[in-house]
Amino acid sequence: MNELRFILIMALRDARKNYPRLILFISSVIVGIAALVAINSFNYNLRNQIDKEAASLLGADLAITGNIPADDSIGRIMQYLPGEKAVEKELLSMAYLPSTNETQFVRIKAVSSGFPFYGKIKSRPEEGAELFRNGQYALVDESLMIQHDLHPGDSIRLGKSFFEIVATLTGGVGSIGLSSAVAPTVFIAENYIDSTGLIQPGSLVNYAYYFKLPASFKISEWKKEYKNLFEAGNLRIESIQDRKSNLNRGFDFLNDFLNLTAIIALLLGCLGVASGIWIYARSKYRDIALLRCLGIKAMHAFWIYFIQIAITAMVGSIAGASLGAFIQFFLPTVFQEFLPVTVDTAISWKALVQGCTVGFVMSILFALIPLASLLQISPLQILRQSFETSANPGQRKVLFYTGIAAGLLLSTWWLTGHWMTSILFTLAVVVLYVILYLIAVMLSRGAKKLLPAGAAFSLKQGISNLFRPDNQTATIIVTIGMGTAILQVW
Amino acid sequence: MQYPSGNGMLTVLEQIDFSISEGDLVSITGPSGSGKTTLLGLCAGLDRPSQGNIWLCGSLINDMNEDERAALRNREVGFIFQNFQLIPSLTALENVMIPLELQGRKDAITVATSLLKNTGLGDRLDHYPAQLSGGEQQRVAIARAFSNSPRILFADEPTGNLDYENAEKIQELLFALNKEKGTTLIIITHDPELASKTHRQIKLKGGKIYSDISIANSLKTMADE
Repeated sequence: MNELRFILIMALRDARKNYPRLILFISSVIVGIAALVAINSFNYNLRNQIDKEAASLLGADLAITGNIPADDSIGRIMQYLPGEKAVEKELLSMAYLPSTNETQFVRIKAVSSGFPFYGKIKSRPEEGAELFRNGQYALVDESLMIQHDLHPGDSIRLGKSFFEIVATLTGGVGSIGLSSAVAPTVFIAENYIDSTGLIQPGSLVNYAYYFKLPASFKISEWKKEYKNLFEAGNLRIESIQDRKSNLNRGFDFLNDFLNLTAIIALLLGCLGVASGIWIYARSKYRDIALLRCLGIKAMHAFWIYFIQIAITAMVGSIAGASLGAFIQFFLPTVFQEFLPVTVDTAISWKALVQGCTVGFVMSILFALIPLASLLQISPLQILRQSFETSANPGQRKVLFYTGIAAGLLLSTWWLTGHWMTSILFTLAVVVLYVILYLIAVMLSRGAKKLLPAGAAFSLKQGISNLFRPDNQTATIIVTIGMGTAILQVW
Repeated sequence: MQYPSGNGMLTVLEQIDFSISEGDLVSITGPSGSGKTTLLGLCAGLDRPSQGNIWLCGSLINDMNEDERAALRNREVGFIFQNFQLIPSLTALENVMIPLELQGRKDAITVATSLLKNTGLGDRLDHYPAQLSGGEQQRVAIARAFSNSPRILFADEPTGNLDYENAEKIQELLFALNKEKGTTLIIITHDPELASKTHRQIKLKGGKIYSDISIANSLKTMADE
C-alpha cells in the first residue's frame, strides 16, 4: 500500500511540470478518436431511425416488382392477398418543359391511389402530395423545379400528354435522393400513364405492386411459398425486413470503410504518441536512475510514468470522444441528401464507449514500447551515462508489437463486426508498416554509406540526421507513408 | 571488476581488498580512469563484482538481485553527487522526502522540513531546483542524503561543481552532519585539500590500490618523530 501511494504521489507530482508535454503527445490521437465516435454515433442513429421508420422505407408491407407486368396466374395470387393494394409504374423518359422550351431526362412514377400506405410523399405545398392523384397533374422533383425555374401552375409534357405541375416534390417515400440529380422524379396518377403513350412494347418499365396486409398475415411464410413462382415470372418479392436488410447492408459497407479510415487516422496518431513518449521517456532516464539509487524497484519506477501516460490517454480519449459526439450533430446535415430517412441525432453512449476504449487501449499499447525501456535503467547510469545494460529487450519488444497487432485486430472487429475484414485489415497494416520501416532502414543505411566525405557542412549535418542515434527517420516515413496510403484509398 | 568491451573484457579494478569501519571518514582519490567511480558503484551496491565479495552494512551483496540491493540502499545508504542530481519536477522538500516516502514514513514531511531548515533552506521548501543556486541545490542533496539516517554515505565529488566559497560551506555542512549523526562517510574526490580533511585516504592507480593511508596515524607518527 505504501508503495502504491508513493507511485501515485510521484506520478502526480512529476506530471505537474510535464502535463503540457503529455497533453501534446496525446493530442495526436484526439482527431482519430473523434472520427471514430462521430462515424459510429451517426451510424447507430441512422440504424435506429431505419428501424423506427422501417415501414415508410417501403411504403407498404409487401412490394412485388419486376420489369414485366404480372401474368394472369400471378395476378390471381396477388388478387387474393388481403388488405389494400396499389400499383406503380416507373420508367425513364424525356420530359418537355413548355415554359422554358427545354427538355429533361426524368423518372416518371405513375402511382395509384392509396400508396404509400406508410410514410408519405412530401411536397410543397403539402396538399400537392394528394392533389396530383385527382387529375392530370404532376408532382415534380425540387431539383428539376430549381434547374428550370418552374413553378406550380407550369406545364410539363410527358410523352403525348401535358400535366399541370401542382407542387414541388421535396422528399419522402418514392423520392430517390442522390439519383434525382441524374433523373429527377415526376409523380403522376397511374390512370394517366397510358395516355402518355410512353408504355409501348419494348419499353423499359418497372412494375411494382404494393400491399398493406393485416397484422396477422405471415409475410415470410407466404414469401417462402411463392418465391420460386414469382422469380420464375421475373418478379421480386420484398418485405419491410428485406428493405431494412438491404439498406443496412449498404450502410454497413460505408460504415466499415469509414471506420477503417478512422482507425488508420487513430493509428497515425498513436505513432505520434509513441514517438512523443519515446522522447519523454528518455528525458526521464536520469530521474529513474536516481530513484533506483535511492531505493525504488524497477517496476515501481515504470508504474510512475505508466500511470501518467494512462491518465493522459484517458483524458485524451474522453476529449476525442466528446469532440466526436459534437461533430456527429453536423453529419446528418451533410449526408441528408443521400439518406432514405431523416436522422434524429442523439448521443450514442455505445459509440462513445467504443471510441474511448479503442483510443485508450491503442494509445497505451503504443506507449508501452518506449515506456518498457524504463525497466532497463540501471542506477549506475547516475554515475556514468555511457553505462549500457546487459538486459536483452528484444523479447519484450516482440511481446509489445504482438499486443499492438492483437489490439488492432480486436478493435477493428469490435467496430466492424467482421472477422475476415479485421484480419485482412490488420495484416495489411502490419505489412505496410514493415515495408515502410524497411524503406526507412534502407534510407538510413544508404545515407550513411553514400554521404560524401567532402560534402558541404549543412548538407552533411542534414543528411547525418537520417542515421544519427535516436533519429526519427522510421517514425516519419511510416507516418507519412501510412497517411499517403489513406489518401490513395480514398 | 571486469566489463565487456569490444571483443574482450576490460579489467577496471583488481586486487581491491579493504574494509571501512562504521563512523569512518574516508576519501578515495586517484587520477581519471583509475576506477574511483567503479569502486563507488560497487561499494554502494549499485553494481555487483565480477569476482570477489562485497559486504555492505553486514549484507553480502553478491547474491542480491537488483531490487534487493535497491531496498538495502534505501535503508542504509545515502548519496551525494557532483551534479547534485535533484529531480527537476519536484520541489526541494519533495526531493528530500523521497527516501523517507520509499520507506513509508508518515513523518516524511516533518523530517524533511527539519533537515532543510538545518541546511539553511527553511524558506526554500517549495522552490524547484531550477530556482536554486548550485550551492543551495547541493544542500538540498545533502539533506536528502541524510534524510533516511543512512549508516553509510557516498559522496562523488560533492564540491566539484561549486565555487570555492560554496565548496567550503558544503564541506563544513557535510562534516558537521557526519559528526552529528555518526554516519560513515566515503568521499570520491580530486581535491587534495578535501581529501586531507578525512581520516583515511585510499589512492587508486590503474585499477589497484596504490596507497591506503590513515591520516590520523600519519599525523601522530609525524608528531612522534
